[in-house]
Amino acid sequence: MDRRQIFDTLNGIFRDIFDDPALTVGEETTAAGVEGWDSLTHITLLAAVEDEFGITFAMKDVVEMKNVGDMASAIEAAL
Amino acid sequence: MAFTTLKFALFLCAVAAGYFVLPKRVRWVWLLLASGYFYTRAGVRYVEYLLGSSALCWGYGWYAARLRRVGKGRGLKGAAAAVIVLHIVALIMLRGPGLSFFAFMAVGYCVDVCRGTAGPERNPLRIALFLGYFPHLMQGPIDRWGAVAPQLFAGHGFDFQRVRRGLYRMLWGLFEKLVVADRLAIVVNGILDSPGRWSGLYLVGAVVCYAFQIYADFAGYMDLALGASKLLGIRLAENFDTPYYAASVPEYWRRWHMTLGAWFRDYLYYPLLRGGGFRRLSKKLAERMGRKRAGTVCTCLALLAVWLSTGLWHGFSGHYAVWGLYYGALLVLSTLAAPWLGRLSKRVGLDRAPSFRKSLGRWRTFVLVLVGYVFFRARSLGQAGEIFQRIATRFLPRYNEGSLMELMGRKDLAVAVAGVAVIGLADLLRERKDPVGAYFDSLPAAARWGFLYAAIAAVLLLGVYGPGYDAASFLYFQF
Repeated sequence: MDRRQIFDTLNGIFRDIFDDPALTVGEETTAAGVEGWDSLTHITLLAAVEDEFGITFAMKDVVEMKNVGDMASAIEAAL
Repeated sequence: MAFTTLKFALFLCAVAAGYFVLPKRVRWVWLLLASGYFYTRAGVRYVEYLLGSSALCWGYGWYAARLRRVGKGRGLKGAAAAVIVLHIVALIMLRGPGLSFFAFMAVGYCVDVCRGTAGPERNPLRIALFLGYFPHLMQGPIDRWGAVAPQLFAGHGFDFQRVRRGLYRMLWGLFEKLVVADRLAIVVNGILDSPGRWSGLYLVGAVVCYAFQIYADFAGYMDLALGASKLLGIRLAENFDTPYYAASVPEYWRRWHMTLGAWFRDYLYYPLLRGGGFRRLSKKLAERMGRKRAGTVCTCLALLAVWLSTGLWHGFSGHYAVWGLYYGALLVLSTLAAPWLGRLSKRVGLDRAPSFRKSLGRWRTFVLVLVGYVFFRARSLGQAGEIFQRIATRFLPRYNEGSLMELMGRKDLAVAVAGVAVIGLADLLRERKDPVGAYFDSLPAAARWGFLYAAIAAVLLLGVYGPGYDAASFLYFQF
């Protein structure tokens, strides 16, 4: 799976979790740029990403992710 | 040795002078010796705790490195759990003020080593400096090894602008603590220590004063700690971001005591939700109600558990537990109600008036925070109940009741109100991201010196140093 495909899948997950069909995320997208994305929803989001890609993030990745680009890199590393 | 004393000022001068005079590579050793001296002023028992904890953290790091070298990472979590339990047991046995901040950093270091996001550090004295560094020792901020350690050992040179800004920050901290917080404490203690004497109006007023007292006290300490550290070129984590401008309770807790919130998030909330128990629960619930709802339920349960822990960290008593659960419940409600509130907001047209909506949110949040303060400040659940009951049933003052003038004269009241207004204005400028520092620097030298002399005069002449003055009485020192 290449990075573009990862982002296509992530867009679907983000739109579902945050109830925003128009939401599109990029490499630099952070929690500050997505309404409703805080530490409370972060874990729900990560669980959805893990289920969708069939991976498990290490705790190190969970706490160090600063943007969606970091998330995509962690997904690539886990695949 | 509290930060508001002359003794500390002399100590800091000596530390800074020695730091900048010594060769770069040994400056961290000087800081360690200075921190050790600072620590001994709190009692010998505390030095044993510092040394013991540093040795434990170093030992865990050594063990982690050894396990990783032979490819046996599985023992790491068990060993980290043992270190955490030992710290908790020591905390309960020693019951010393300020020790919990120290324990947070020690546990954080070990967990970061376990996760591979830090260290391990080979030199136990360096770990001792990280844990016992005197500016963050007694009330935080709760720093992370990765952010602070490189700065501690870098050996910074003298920088006049940086030292000047550090001193400005300390002066601001003294103003917040001595002029505002300790003055408001007179009213707060006078009313909330004996709520049965006062009507609801005075009790509400006292709780509002408490909101500003605790902010000025704690933020004042942070400004003193971060300013002192800035002199030495070491930047510690910020703990406040204009919290009373938050437009929701979740936002408030992203702005108040930020390092504590981040610690509980990274070392309790996330591990709890990602642990085996919650994962199994989430899978079972997902079969019945779908993935998203299952995630929401687990989030809510974890929030309540984390907030109960946060409450009990402040003290093992009913009113702290209720305080924690109160905020846990508010955060749960906020999670559940967010989609519904968004739709309601659109329906009544509030989304077309973002400023009004934000203002409404700020007032609502402040009122909710005030309710929480009743539980937090009360000596017991019973006293909290008494305060609420008098607010509800005896709001208006009666003729034979006490008056505010018994507690504080008009002049002191005016100084308190003016002080709160100054802090509010400073926070407003920070909230609007106005470059206050740059603006101040751009003033003519005479104007800058005028402001500085006024601030120094305010601290010296208006600071509360009265008969009951206790230099160590920062509110968060007790935790």
